[in-house]
Amino acid sequence: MPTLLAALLPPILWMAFFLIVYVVEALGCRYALDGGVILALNGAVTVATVAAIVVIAGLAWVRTRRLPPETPGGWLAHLSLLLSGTTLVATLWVGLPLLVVPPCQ
Amino acid sequence: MTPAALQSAWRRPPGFRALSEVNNVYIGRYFIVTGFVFFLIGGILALLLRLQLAVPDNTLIGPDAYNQIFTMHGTAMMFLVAVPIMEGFAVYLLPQMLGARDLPFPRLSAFGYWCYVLGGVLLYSSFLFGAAPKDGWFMYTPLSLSEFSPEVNADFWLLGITFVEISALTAAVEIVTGVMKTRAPHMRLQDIPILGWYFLVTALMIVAAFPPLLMGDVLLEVERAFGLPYFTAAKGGDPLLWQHLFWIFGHPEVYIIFLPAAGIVSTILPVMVQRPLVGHDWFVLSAVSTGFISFGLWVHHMFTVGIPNLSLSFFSTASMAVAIPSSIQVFGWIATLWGRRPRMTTPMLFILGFLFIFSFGGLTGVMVASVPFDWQVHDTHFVVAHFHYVLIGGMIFPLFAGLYYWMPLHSGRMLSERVGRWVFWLHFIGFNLTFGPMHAAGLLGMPRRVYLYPEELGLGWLNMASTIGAFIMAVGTLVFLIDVARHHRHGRPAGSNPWNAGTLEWAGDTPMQEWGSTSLAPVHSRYPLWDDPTLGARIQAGEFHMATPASGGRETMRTSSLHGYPEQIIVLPGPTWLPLLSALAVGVLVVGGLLKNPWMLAGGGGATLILLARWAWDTDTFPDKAEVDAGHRLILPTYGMGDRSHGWWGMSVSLLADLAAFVGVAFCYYFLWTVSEEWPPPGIEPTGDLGWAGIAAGALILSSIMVQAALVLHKRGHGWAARVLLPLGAFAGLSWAVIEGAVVYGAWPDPTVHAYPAMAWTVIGYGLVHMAVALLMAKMVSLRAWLGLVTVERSQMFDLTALFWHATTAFGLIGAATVHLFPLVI
Repeated sequence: MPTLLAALLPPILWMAFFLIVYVVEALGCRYALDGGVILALNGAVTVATVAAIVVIAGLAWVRTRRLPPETPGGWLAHLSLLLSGTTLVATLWVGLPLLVVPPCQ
Repeated sequence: MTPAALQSAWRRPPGFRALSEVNNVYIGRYFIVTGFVFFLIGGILALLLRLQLAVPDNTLIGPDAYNQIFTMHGTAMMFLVAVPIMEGFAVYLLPQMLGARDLPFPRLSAFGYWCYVLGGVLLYSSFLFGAAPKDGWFMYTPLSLSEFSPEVNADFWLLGITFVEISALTAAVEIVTGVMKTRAPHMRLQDIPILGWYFLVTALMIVAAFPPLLMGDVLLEVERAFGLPYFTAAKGGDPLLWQHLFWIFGHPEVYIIFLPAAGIVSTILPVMVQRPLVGHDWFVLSAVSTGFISFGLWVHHMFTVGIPNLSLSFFSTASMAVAIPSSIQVFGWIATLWGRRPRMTTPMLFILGFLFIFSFGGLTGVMVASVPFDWQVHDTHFVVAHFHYVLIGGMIFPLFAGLYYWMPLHSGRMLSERVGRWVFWLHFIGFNLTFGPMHAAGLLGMPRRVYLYPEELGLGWLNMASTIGAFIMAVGTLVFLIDVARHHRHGRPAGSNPWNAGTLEWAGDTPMQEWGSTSLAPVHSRYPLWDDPTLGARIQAGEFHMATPASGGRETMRTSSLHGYPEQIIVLPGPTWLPLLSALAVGVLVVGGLLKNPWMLAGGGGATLILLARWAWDTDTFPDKAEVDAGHRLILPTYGMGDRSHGWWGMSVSLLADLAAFVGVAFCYYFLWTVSEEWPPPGIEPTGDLGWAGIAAGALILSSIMVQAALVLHKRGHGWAARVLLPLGAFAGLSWAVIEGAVVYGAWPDPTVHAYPAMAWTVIGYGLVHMAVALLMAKMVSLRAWLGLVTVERSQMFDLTALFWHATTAFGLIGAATVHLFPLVI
């Protein structure tokens, strides 16, 4: 089970990232709407996005170290590398609205 | 012994005792047939809807009946058809595909099936009382609250669906454990057939998605029955909370339906072109990615409820991102077809129909994922068209492909190809005629869930076309049924492996034997029958493992999760009444809730507990032989415990579902905090007595320490630990329950006055209910230890009880921190 969980780490991180940006946005808008808070909110979501991208890319880099592909461990590492790819795209894509949509409207 | 021994071990009991059968070969088919019957009834409801909408200002069906019919149509198709039929395919096919004899918990499959049947019958029986649910398949609050729906209609829905959800969860536990722990010897993770991967991801999604709705159902029913105001805005609740709970389940549900269907397509398509699936790993990637991303989409059903734009954008972009793994699969299927001339059989026609319809539905899905477009078409027939393209295209067409493809395993005969073409074209033309025009009708302003429309809208001809299309589809289904009935006697005998498939379910002759494979062959590839065309005959000749029942009864092999190394012979239970009786006891409990009859509630609850305790009593069985010969000098134990055992996996997956339910409850608490004006509200006790709450928490922590210490000492040979220390630990747990209950009661004696005390009761109540179960489990372990039935070598029940106990402690402590401490920090 630990090996499987390790392979699934990139999408698990994506879920955590998604939850964090959703909660930060919801709570930020719940409590205060002045300009400073909005700026902080945008900053927090940006930091979360960048952090998620860095960590997932790091995981992908770790997975590129070749294990024998015929072993289940090697095969899982390969799968995890592929998952890092889709997860990176999904993270970038979810972070993108920050550039165009103002929060709390 | 010869196959006669297998035959006698796996024979179904005759007469009415056949109802006690637990063999996957039967239970899987029961699921599929029952699901198809519910599908036919749901289809008849759809035809009634189309008849009403065929012409403007129609007076055929009144608004109340129309509401009941559309609610039941959606409910039945989503809960009683799409998910259970796919569970049926999993239960029926997986063991044989994976090279096993049965799934690891046959009684659980049977229990799930009976819960499903009873839940479905309960739901449909509401029509007999003129009390069918009528608040939509999503049962939105506040419409479904007792103030606006005072009759039992909504209760039928809530209780019936709860039943069906239990069934889905049991199947999920079974599927995850089955795929991970009961495979052919040496079948590595990467050798698992693609359908196994799809079912694995689907089952894990069920584990994560169904419990929040299950909790939502419980909360809504508690509000309706006892007045705890979770969803009533005037008392601090929020109707939108229900929408969140529903769609946290509801959107993954779409993929829970679609993924097994995609697995069916990915299994059949390679056979029709006689080449392995191109990009197998990419398909696994797609299934896993879809499984995760689908949990970030739920708010796209709520674009119009007033959530901030940036939040909507997160869900909007995630909704578009999920198109990536979906497209990877479509390109993979096209690549598999590329350069080949597929055999244009009926399954292949349905797959091509699926590709066309599902891709079209996917494209309109990307359209409605865009927030401004969704605002325009929300609650119109455009959305109805979109999701029918996705669901019928994505599930019903692959379902028919699967039925045509695997029917020989059931009957030993082929369905007619000539009739099959008629069935396909009637469905394909009928479908597009029904739902194609709905896109236009929706864009022109045809609203959903409205029983009539005026002639001036000019939508009469579009609706008439849809109605004609629906009846063409119905004729297609009727023709299919006639052919199914006919082929049992007149169909062409299928022989062995009629499609020349590469996966193991086709290793034997058709129809499939009750015990599956006569021997269990080592497997080192995804298409073993293609790699070695003689393999099927050799398996049937008993050349490999377990050709002789090693223990004399029903059994299957447990293998390691990654490499598939043989680990244990699992001695399986034979026919038993426990699953049916347990489901009936839960049924009495549910109907008692429906009728608000305390005697039925008490009787059903008591009977359920007694039966489940009886069931658990078998956990540490004592087979005659500790080790047996599985053939070819492979000596395996007949008992296993610890984290490699299937029991541990089953409990772990169940606890994951438990965790998902707890997260659902915690989400309710924190959600209501974010939307409330003041939390805690003025005039209501904020935290309760912190001193006593602290003492209670201490007792709970102490209980976990004592239970773990008892387990460790027991493993070291100190038999008294289970007999004495475990009951002491249980007493500490009981102390927590009593003190914590008293603190909550003292602080909030009436939970109906506001959502704040209602949530405090609910969050703590979750832990209290767990403690009741944990105490029962500890009591059983201790009793068995006194009777000498739990020993150092055989103590799986103790392992599992400790696991459950620690989970209970975690829920109790997090719940207590939420209720008693969180209000201090905000």
